[in-house]
Amino acid sequence: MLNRISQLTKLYLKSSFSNTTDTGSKKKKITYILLYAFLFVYLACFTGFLSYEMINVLLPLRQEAVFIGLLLLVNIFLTFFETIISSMNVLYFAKDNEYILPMPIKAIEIVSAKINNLLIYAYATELLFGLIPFIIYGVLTAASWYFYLFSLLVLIILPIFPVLLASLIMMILMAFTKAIKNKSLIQILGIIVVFVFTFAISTFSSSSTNIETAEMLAMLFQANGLVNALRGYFPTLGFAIDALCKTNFLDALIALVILIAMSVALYFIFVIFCQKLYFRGVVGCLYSSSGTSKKKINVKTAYRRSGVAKSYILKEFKILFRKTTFLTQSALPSIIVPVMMCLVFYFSLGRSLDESGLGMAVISTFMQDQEYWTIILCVILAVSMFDSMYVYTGITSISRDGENAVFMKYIPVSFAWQCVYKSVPNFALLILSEVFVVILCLMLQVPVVLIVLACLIFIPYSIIHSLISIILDLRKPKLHWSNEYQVVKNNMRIFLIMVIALLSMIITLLPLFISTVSVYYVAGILFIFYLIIAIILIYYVFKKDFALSKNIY
Amino acid sequence: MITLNSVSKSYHKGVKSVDNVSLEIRNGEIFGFLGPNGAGKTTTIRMITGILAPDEGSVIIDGYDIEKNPFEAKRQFGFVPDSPDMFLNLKAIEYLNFCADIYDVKDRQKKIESLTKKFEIYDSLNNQIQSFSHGMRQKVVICGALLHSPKNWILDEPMTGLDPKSSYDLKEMMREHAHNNNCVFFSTHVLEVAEKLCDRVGIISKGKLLFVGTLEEMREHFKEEGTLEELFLEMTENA
Repeated sequence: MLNRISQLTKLYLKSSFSNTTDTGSKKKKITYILLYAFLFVYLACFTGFLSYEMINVLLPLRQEAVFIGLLLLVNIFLTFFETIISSMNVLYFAKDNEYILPMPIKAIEIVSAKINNLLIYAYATELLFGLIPFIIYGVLTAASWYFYLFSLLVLIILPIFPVLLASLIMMILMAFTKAIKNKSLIQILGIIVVFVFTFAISTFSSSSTNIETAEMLAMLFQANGLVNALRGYFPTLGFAIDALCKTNFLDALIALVILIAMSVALYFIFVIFCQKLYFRGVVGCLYSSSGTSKKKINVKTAYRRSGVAKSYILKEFKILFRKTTFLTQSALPSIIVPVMMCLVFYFSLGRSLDESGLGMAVISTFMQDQEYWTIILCVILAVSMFDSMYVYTGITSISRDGENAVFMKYIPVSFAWQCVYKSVPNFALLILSEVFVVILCLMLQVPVVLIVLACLIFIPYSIIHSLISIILDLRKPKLHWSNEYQVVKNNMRIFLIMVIALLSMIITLLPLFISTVSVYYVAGILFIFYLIIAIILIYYVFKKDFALSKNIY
Repeated sequence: MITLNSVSKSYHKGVKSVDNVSLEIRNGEIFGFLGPNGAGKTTTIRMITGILAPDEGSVIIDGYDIEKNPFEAKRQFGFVPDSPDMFLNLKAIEYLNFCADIYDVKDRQKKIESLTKKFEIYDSLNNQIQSFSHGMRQKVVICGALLHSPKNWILDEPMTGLDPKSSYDLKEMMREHAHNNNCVFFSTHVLEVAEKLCDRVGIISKGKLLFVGTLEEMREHFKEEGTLEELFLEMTENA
């Protein structure tokens, strides 16, 4: 049985990772590994720095144990919320259920393997938010050898309870409610929760760089109060804290043994008694995914005739917004990232203004001074173009169709016009991201004339961005994919779009070096510059026309 | 009418996937295009429909060259590809309406209702195509291809996944369409269907057209009285 559980766990892990790592070529795999390694190092440095600061604040007061409690609580919460989000996909929406269920595999083996999968995800998180802080703590406090051993064991055992608790909650919800079986809705909610969480972290980190020691101490002791309050709700938390903080070796060992015994017992109780609950939800999911609605068409509206352009563009939007993967990977970043950036910028600016003693009146005076209008215009445009780096809709517009892309070639519609129709969602999302920039400008009391000029210049830029995205996708479209993640995750051309946006930012900021030029002159030059490029690109697309489709077959 | 004039296509240098194929599919006939896997059937069909440009030769549909007059040529045919997984996130009615808009179909309500009721998918039109079985998806794609009443039908393995009634209905529609002096070109692996349905067949293997003609002509050619299946196997194994 243990062997089978181990094999199943490996299978599930491999299946979930193949979505994002199945790049095909060794060179791309290495690139992705390097990218993830870079990201890991970056986050590790951030976590390490934060831990170092906190421990150094507590050490002089001999209250460093507060850090341990806080760290363990943070890990428990992270594991709990991460499991809430990932358990839906791992336990219920994974396609492997349909293949595994008919096989002669015991229910307890399937449940164990699924829970092990969730635990492995939790360990990945703990690598950053658990292991590194513990090592730093051990070094700074000159901890004994058994601290490191106990820390390792605690990190292995700690996630079990939150994973089981989160899984139990999801199993109850899946077994007894219908709404939650809407896979698309759950995935979208999950993405939004992740973004909100990321925003909260980034706001905290941007404000904590200037935090005073006394303020940090107050925050830490508040958090310690929270830890003590929650010990009763997370029984393993108390024993984990005792195992790492007790100065007496025997007391620490006893706490560790109780922690291990409790967690292992909970694990076995869970997998034995929750099988029925789990499979009730799984079977319900399979029914809801295969069923069709009995809703009849509305005869009055169903056969409405539209022009080719409107029909085609509507089709593009429907496919983009109805396919959750495309929505969350291609469209949502273009909305959420500018919103987050604006909010982070606004809150950081607000704090800086408070600290420096400046107020909105000073900002307003600056904005109204025509001497600075060229700078302000260039900065607005640069921010807009920076936001455009996160609009990936155009760069995947052909690849999203997959093998269906050949449809473009046998219908009696000009291929050039189809490219234009396909670029419209990208253009629309760029304009939407610009709306958030406009909102930020209004909050900062930027003169309306500058906002209007920036928007006018942004229009031809958006046309360029949208058409270049399509042209790049047409050069090497990714049409043969087995799941939608491969369209976006392995698409290196997204970086090309970022490069183009960066280049545009540099061009837009060039007028800053010519201090005496009138803003209207600069606006005119930039508008004409981007307009010419847009016209050239439109001409190119229509001149090439069907020749652009040579890589679609 | 569909005419292929010495059409060739290579994917890799020196290896022709389709080698000098000449065909004429006349109005009023059902033409079956047969061949083993990898023979060049799909490549040929893709050249006819404009998905692939031939390296040599030309494809003429009702007098329009697919390369020189692509729009006019593409209006002359309805194409059913071998994979029915088309725009899965659209509702069936949305997909059909989209096809109707692309081909500027007048009287679309009557046509959609007629086709979808015939294939018994009318009650499911308000569901997304991804919720359909393979057979139902195939029916949706067939309906979409026939909506603009094209004179030439190009069907790539259209019976795959269809239930017996729908398969029968499609065959009847093909017979009626040909009877009305239109043209049906279809590829299939099911030789019994081709034997009963087709007026003429074309057999392709390793990119070369081995035979074009009626079943009687094939028997005369091989001086054998075998079934289409037996003659086909003999022909393709010796190629």
